[in-house]
Amino acid sequence: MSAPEEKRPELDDAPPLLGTWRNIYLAVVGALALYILGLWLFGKVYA
Amino acid sequence: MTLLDWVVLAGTTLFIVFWGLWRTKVSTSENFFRGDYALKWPTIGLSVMATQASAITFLSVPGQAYEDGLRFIQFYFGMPLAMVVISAVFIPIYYRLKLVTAYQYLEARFDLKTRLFGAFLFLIQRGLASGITLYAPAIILSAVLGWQLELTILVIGVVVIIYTVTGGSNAVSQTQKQQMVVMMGGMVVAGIVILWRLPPEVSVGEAMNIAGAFGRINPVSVSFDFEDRYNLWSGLAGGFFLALSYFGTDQSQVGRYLAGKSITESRLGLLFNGVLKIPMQLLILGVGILVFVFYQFTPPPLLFNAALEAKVRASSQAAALLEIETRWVALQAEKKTQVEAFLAAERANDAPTADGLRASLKASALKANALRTEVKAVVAKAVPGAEVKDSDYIFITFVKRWLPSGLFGLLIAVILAAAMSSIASELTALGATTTVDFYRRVFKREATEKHALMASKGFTILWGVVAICFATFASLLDNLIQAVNILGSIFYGTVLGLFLVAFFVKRVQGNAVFVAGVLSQGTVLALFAFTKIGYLWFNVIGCTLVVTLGLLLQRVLPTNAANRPLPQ
Repeated sequence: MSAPEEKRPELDDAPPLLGTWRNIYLAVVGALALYILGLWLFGKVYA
Repeated sequence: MTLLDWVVLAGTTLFIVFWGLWRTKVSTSENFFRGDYALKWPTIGLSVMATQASAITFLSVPGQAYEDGLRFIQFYFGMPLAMVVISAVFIPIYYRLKLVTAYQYLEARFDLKTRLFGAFLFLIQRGLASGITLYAPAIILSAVLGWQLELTILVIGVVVIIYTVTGGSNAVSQTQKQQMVVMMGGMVVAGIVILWRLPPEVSVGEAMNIAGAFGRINPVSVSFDFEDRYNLWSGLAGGFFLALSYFGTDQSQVGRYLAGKSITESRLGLLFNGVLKIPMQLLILGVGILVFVFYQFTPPPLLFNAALEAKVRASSQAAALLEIETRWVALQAEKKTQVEAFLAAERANDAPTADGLRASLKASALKANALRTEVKAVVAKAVPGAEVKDSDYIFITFVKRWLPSGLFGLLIAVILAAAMSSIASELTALGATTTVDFYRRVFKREATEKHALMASKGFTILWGVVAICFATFASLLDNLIQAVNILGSIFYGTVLGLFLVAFFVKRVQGNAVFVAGVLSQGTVLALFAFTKIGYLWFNVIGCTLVVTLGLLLQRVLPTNAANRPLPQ
């Protein structure tokens, strides 16, 4: 099963922001840490 | 439903379906399964989110928050980490090998039997899950709205089959983008309406205080317990493995992001999902919490499944139900007085009184739980064999009773959109795996493109019919979203193990990993049948077993004749 080469997706690998993919991944992990911390604090305040 | 509700429901649903079909054209089987490689990251991200967010999410999760609080959110903690691993490791390899299904990679790395084993586990798991995905909204909508169950299943199933088979993967992605907008918009509107329905003097902060007093604000638990389904550790570890397996190896998700224009678009789409999933689930859980607070000021029904309640009233147990209802009404009035006193003490900064009332509220909540348990025993006597657990009916019952005309139709459109978006991805993935991994690989290797496209459409229709049949004969499970997650966890660990060995353990070859996979799957099935281990751990156990047994068996089993290198 194959498609004409011109229809194949681009194998580019350039991150559109933050310079490198590593930085983007770190930002995602940082967002997770903030979510957990925020939810933990939310629980502490209202539980 | 009023005429306005019908207009909103039909208008929203038909617009999404026709818009998706108008935007797409299918000419080859690859085009059918992967689109035309034109999707940008927002479409991929929304498509991935819509695939996971089924109708079960919108029916079951608010009810789960109502009964159990926010702790289900921990289930999603491992997901962003999994998105990072898939973006960094899985996607580049899938792209460079130009795969249509994830299981093709197992043959590239190991051998045909391992590919077929992985694809077979997917077909079993996803084939059964698609039946539940279709059945869940149908049983609840039919019970609440009086629609005929079989007809509801048939209409939803046939509409999805038509646009999936006509427009292929591209139509699925395009419709999912609209469906996500409707789903999230509908839930935001529902949340606003519930806040508006609360007594005017109750602020959002006070609403959270009330929920907290009843133990419902419990989003993070750091205590470790193997039998506790949701805590920080099971969420991070079990949730990570489950998400890695679901998004990295389940064709219903792999097919979504492999339709991207480039590796970058696919990666960004997945990471977009990883970052937004937790807030999205928090919104849905939050709506459930608000419904819970609303029912502290307005007496909730004793039974949320009205159709079942009517059967009890018509049975010999009617008097028993009435007697419990009398006690229920008195308890709700007492609880409302306690809640108002609690709020007054909080406003006056009277901490000792507030603490005392908090204890009273918890005692009242225990009494309410006891009455609900008592009435469920009455239901079981009145209607033997009926499912007495009614948490999946909590949100839809609230919506039906308290949302104004038009918005009720919008919320039904949300549930139908969620159902159709998930089933469409599942049917596309089941059709792709059957066609690519079995039909064209084993039975018709020389099939023409026209023949392959017809076969692709035929298998997609076949799986749609299987889902409709399974949904028609299924019975209501304990909790619908948990049923799907448990089913996934039983199989995902093994499949993930196969892929992790393929990616990271170069010296293990086909024979060893295949036997390890079979042994691991058998062990997980035995653990599910004979132990009480929390289901998220099956993902970790299954995966670990495949990797460990694979390494051990590699020492004793013969290596395949062709030693396949790890694709670079």
